[in-house]
Amino acid sequence: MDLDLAQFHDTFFEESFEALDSMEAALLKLDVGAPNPEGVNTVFRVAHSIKGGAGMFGFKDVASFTHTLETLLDELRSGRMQVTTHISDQLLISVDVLRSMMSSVQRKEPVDMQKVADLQFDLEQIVANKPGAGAPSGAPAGSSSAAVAPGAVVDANSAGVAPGAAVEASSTSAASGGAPAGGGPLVAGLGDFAGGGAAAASAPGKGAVSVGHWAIEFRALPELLLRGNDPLAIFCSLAELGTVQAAANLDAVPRLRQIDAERCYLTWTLRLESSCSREQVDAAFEWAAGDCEVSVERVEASGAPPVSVATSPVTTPTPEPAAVAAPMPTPAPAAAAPTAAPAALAHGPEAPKAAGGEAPKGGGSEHSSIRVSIEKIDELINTVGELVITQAMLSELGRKLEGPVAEPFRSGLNQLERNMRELQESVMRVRMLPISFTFSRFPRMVRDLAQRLGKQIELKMTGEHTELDKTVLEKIGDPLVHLVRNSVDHGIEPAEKRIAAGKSAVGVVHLDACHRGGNIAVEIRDDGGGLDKSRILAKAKSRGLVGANDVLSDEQIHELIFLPGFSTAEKTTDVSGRGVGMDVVRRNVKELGGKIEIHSELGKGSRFIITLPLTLAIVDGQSVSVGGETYIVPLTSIIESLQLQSQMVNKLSGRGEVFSFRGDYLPIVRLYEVFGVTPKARALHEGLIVVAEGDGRRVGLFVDELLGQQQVVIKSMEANYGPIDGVAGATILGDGSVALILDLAGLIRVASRRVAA
Amino acid sequence: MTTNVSTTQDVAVPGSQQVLTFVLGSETYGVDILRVQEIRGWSTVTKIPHAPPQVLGVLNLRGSIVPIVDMRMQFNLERAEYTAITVIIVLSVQSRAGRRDFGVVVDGVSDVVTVNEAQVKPAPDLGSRAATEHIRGLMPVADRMVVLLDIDRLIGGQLPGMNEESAHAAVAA
Amino acid sequence: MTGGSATSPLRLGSATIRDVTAFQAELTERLDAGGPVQIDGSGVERVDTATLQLLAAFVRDLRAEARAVEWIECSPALRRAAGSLGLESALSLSGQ
Repeated sequence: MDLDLAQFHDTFFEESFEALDSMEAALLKLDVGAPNPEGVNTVFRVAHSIKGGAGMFGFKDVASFTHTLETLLDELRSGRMQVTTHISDQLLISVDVLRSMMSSVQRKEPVDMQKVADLQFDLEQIVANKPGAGAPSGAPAGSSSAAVAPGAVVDANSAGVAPGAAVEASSTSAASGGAPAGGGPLVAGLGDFAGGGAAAASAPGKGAVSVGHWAIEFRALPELLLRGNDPLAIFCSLAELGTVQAAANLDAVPRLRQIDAERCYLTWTLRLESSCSREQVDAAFEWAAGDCEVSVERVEASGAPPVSVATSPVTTPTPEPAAVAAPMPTPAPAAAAPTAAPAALAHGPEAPKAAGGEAPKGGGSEHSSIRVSIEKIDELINTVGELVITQAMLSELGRKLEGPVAEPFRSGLNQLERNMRELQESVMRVRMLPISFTFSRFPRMVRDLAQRLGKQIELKMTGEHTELDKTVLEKIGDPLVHLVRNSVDHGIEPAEKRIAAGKSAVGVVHLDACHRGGNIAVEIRDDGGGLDKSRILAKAKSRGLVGANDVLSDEQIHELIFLPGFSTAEKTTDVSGRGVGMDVVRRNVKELGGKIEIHSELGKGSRFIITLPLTLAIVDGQSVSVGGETYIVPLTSIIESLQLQSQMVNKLSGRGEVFSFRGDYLPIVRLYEVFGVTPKARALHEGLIVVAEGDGRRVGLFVDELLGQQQVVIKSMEANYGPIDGVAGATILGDGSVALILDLAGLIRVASRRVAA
Repeated sequence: MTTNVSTTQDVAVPGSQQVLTFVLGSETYGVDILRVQEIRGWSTVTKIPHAPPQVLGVLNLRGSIVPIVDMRMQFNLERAEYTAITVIIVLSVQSRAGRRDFGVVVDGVSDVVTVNEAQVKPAPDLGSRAATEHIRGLMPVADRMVVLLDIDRLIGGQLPGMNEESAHAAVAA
Repeated sequence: MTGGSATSPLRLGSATIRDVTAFQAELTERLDAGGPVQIDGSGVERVDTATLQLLAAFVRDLRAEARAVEWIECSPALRRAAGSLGLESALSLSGQ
C-alpha cells in the first residue's frame, strides 16, 4: 500500500546527472556578450526539472539550492538581468556544486552544506543586487540544516508535486523576518518536504511590496479524487507561483457517516499573491480540468506599481509539475513522475517510461525515445545471436537436401539469411551510441585545465556523431581523458613560447572520430611542441631500456613512451602525473581489441590515433581448421594467407622457425602445438600459413586449412571458466559446437614463451 | 538427449535435503539436487589449451560456454570409454566470482534420494585433509554407500580464477 | 490507521484516499463512542484531501455535539497539508 519512491531514485539521479551535463554544455556555449535565449532557457528548464524531482523525493537541500538557481535563471531568461562573465562563472560552479550534492545524496553521504550555503548566498546576492531590485535582500539562505541529513525519502502523498515553495513562512528560516505571524503565507509542502529557505531573501507579503493577486474559486466535481487529482497537489503547484492563502468551505460536506469518502465536497476560495501570468495559473489546474470548476480573476494591487518580486519562482508554461499527477484511478504518481524531463528532450505528458538503466537516445533533441534497461538489450542481442546460429545450421542442412523441394527451400533459407543479417545489424545498432557521450566532458575539462595552467587553448571536436557500441564507449573515456590531458599539459606550450616560435598564442587541441574500415578511429591532435625524440631516446638509454648504440626508427622511439613509468616531462604538474599513464592507456586500448598510433613532429605537434572495433560483441573472423578443431582468427588481425615452400623457412637459434615475409623474418606458430591437438599437416608445405599481427608483432600461424569467413558472436569464456591466454572468447558454430576465438597478442606471448623454454 | 531437472525444493523433511546420485565405476556419489541444472548425453567437447587434464574442454549449453570435467580423472579412477550412455551432469557452483556452471562426465545417473543428516557418517580419515575436503560424508542407501560431495570444494580449484583455497588444497594433495 | 480506545487519544497514522474506508469507519466509531476526543497527529507523514476532509467532518460533527476536541500533537506534515487546504480552523488546528 505504501508507495515506495526509492525505486525511482536511480532514474532520477541518472536523468539529473545527464541534465546537469546538458546544462553545463549550454553554459559553456553561452556567449556572454550575446547570449542565445534558447541556451538560457535550456539551463533554466534543467534547474527547474531537477528542483521538481528533488522536491518530490524529499531531497530538501538539492531542491532548495536549485530553487535559488532557478530564480536567478528566471531573471536571466526574462531579460530582467544580463548575463555577465561573473554570473556565467557562478553558474558553472553551481553545476559542480549540484553534481557533488547529488552524488552525496545518491551515496547517502552527508552533503557539504557550507559550500552550498555560500554559493547560494552569492547567487541570491546577484539577484538581489540587480539593477532596479526593490526588495532588500535578507540574510543568507542556508536555512536547510547544516551538514548531514542526506535527503530522506518520504513517500509522496498522492500526486506528489514539487513543493519548492515560494516562501518558507515557518520559523526555520531566520531570514524571512517580517513574515506575518499566524495566518500568513502558507507553506506548500507535502509530507516532510520543507520548501527550504531558498527564497527567504525577501518574502513577499512582507508589506514592503504589493503585487496584486489572483482570486480563485475552486469547486471539485465528484470524480476529481477518483481520477487521481488532489486539490492539495494543485494548491502546492499554485504555491510555486507566489503566496497562497486558502479558505475551505465545508457547507457541502455531509455528516461523517454519510460521506462518500472518495468524493470531494469541499470548495475553496484562494488568494494567490503573484505577478505570474494567467496561463501559469491555469496550468496548475490543467490536469484536473473537467473534474472541477475554477474561476480565476486578477486583482491588481491598489496604487503600487506591479513590481516583480525577486524571489518568486515561476513555473514554466509546460505543465511539468502537473505532469506528475498522471490521471490514474489511484493517486499514486505514475512511474513517469520522477522523470522530470531533462531539458533537452521536448516531452509533454507523454510519460510512460520503462524504469531502469540506460538510454540509447537518438542524437537529436526532438526525437522521442524511451529508456530501456541494458539487461533487456543484452538479452535481445543474445537471442538474435542464437537465431543467427540456428539459421546457419539450417543453411548447412539445406545444402544437403535433395528432392523437388530442395531448391525452393534453399532459396527460402537464403532469404532468411539476408533477413537475419539485417536483424542482427539493427539489433547491434541499438546498443550503439554516438561518441559525443564521451566527448561531452572535454570542453569543460579543457577550459578548467587551461585556466589552471595559464594557457590559452581552443578545443575542437568533430565527428561526435560517430557511433560505437556502448560497451566500448564506456571504456574509452579514461584513455581519451589521459591523452587530452597530456596534450594540454605537455603538448601545448605556454603562450609566450608559442608566439616566440611563430605560432598563434592560442593552442588547438582537436578531437576527431570517424569510422574507418569496420573500426572507429579516434584522433587527438594538438599543434603543440610535439614529442622530442632525442630526449626520449636519451632517457630510454639512460634508463637502460635501450642499448647505448641502438639505432631506432622514429616509430620505435615514439613507442618508447608506452613503457611504464616513462615520462620526459621536465616537471610534472598535478594534472597529468608522472608518466603513469601511457602504458595504462595502451593496455586499456588493447583490452578493447584496439591499437594506438603516434605521429609527432618536433615543434609542430602530435597526433594520437586510437583504433577500436565498433563493438565487443561480434567479430569478423576467418575460420581455420587445425587437427579437426575449428578456430576463429579475427579478420582485423590477419594480414595475408599463404602457402610456404620449404626453402622459404629457416631455423634461427633462439627464435625457432622463421620465414621471410616482406623483408622481415617472422616466426612460425604451429597452432597444433599451442592447442595440443593432432594436426592433419605437420610438414609446413602441407598446410597453410596465416600471417597475423598482435601487439605490434607479426607471426605466421600454421594451420591445416582455411574454412570460411563469417561474423561470429563472441561468447565469454570467463563466465564459467576463466581467462585463457591466447583465447579471446568462444563462439557457437552452425552445428552447435564451440569454436575458440583467438587473441593474437596473447597467442604470440604464449608462443614466445614456448620458444624460449 | 537432455533432461531438465527441477531445481526447486520439493516437499522436504526439515533437516534433510535431496541428492542426485550417480555412478562412477563401482562407486556411487551424490550431489545436492539444487545444484543440478541439467542432465545430458555425451557430445564432443572443444578442447581448451592449458587446462588441467581433467577439464576435457567446453560445450555449448543453450548459449553458454560450459567447461566439462571428467570425474574419473578427478578422482583418479581408471579412465573409461565414453559411450552412448555416458552422461554429463551440469552443475552450478558458487564461487567468489559468483555462480558458475560446469558439467561433469559420469558413467550414469541413479536415483534421487533424501539425505537424513542423522544417517550421514563423516568422511574416513585418509591422512590428508585435502583429499577428503570435497566429501561431505558417507550415507548408506539400500545396499550401497553413497559418497556425498561438496561440489563447491570439489571443482573450486580446477577452474581458473576460482576459490584460491581449493587451488592450494589441490596442489597440496 | 487510528488507535486507542474511547478514552485514550485518537492516534492518527498516515493515510490517503486508499485508506479512507477504514479511516471513515474508525472515525465514525469514535464519534459514536461519545465523550471528548484528544487527537494525536504526531505520526502522520502522508495525508491527502480525502482524509483531511473526513477529519474535518469528524471535528465538525464533534463540535456540533458540543464535545471537546483537543490536539495533543500534530506532525509538521499534517499541519502543512491542513494549511495548504485552508482547513486549519476546520480541524481546530489554528493557534497550535
